[in-house]
Amino acid sequence: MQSEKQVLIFISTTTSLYQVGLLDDLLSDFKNSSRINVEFKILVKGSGEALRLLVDGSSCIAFTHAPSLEKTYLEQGKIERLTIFAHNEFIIVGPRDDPANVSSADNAIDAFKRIFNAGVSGKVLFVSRSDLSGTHVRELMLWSLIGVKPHGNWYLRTGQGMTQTLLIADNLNAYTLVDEGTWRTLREQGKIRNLVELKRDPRLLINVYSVYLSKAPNCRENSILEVAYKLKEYLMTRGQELLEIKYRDKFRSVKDKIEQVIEAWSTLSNIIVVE
Amino acid sequence: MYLDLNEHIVNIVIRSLYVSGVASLLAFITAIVLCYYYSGRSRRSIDLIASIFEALVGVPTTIIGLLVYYLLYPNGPLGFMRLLYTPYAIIIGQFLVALPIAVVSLIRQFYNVRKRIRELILSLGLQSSRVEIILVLRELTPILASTYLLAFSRCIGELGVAMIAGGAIEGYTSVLTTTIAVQTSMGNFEEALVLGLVLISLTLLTAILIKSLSKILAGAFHYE
Repeated sequence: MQSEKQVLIFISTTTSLYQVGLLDDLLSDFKNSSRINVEFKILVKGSGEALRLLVDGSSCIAFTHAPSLEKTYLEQGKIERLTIFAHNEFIIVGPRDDPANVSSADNAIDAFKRIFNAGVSGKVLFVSRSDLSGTHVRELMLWSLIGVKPHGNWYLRTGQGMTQTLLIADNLNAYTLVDEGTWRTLREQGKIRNLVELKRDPRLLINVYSVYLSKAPNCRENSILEVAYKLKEYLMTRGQELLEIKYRDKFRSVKDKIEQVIEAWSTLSNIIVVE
Repeated sequence: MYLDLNEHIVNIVIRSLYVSGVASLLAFITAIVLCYYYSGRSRRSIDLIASIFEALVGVPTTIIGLLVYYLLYPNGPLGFMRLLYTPYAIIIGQFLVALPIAVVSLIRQFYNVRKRIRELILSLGLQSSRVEIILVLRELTPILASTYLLAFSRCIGELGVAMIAGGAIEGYTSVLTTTIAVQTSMGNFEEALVLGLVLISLTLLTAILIKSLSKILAGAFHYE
């Protein structure tokens, strides 16, 4: 046996990929199939913090889903994209009786308008992640497309991960925006009692997961770069199969449609979020 | 009971005990040295030092975590040491968390006891600082034990440092408190509750252990 030195890499990741179990599966399958002597240390954060850690070099690889934030750092030359590797949708969920009548909305913007109006008049509650995660950034994008700034008693900020936020929304019978993976996982575990899926919008609510590599000096060692590029290769081949087999209902692979997903990513990244 | 954690609970417990044990021990020893060093000073300076450390006790652990993060992150002053998100980062932070409380708990006692012992030594005509140190420590055994206990419980029960500077990395820097927080945020309240009970039992067990140890030690010293 060779006694190669073990490479240690810190990875920051958005909470959804970790909590659903996908990231662990991908990384351990990568280790087994590539036989690289590498150890990953995983930091579970919102996309905002995950990217910040990446820029600082506190982590060298990041799994995120916040196109507009990603674009900012890409343009500043602080990170490089390894690949886009999966996508699914955000879903607007809310109480079964749907007092804001979101289910009959034309699209996500219309749905958010209805929630805003019903919220301001005190009929419904909305729970926001408020942690600069990918989901939160998307929510902010929708509010700013309507041209409103939600605040008041009906707009609750949790500052916590997706699972926690969804459970809070479920307990309060409130509306919220959730990624498909987390939604389905919690539904399967029987932890959702009150909420139902109300609105999808494949155009505005597509959720794109990408992997980035830091350009911080401590991440440019050859051993790290080698693992990063091997990981990229893995994600686009064997990783795609794992997605399709084990996580079919939660994440979709980008095989054969990478152009469309990249297109969707650039459309999203160009919408400026006014906070 | 079956726990749906990715890492075995025993590993988390051992890591928590190791990290907080080392951190509180370092803080404890530093506090003893500091207090012994300052206990020869005047009443006024003792009061001043005590009140400074009393104020430091109130600094939230999250702030200390943030400070350690700032010191250790790659562009920070100590970034080159690459200690961020390692157990050592937690040890450094918890050391800072435990030190003030250990000093506060010891400093006045050290002053009083040392004054008394010095008078005793003078009246007996002895002139040995080694005898003085031994006598002071002997007199203080019960207080030393409860001080270590205080430091340890504060370390093992804190969340801010472990979360911010440790990063709660599974199998590496996750300790009991961070696992409780992470499990709760994943909606696994049952797991979180069990871990909470483990944490409480550990603190109680340590308390009983150290108290009985200090009794045995105190008994050993009084050999007349």
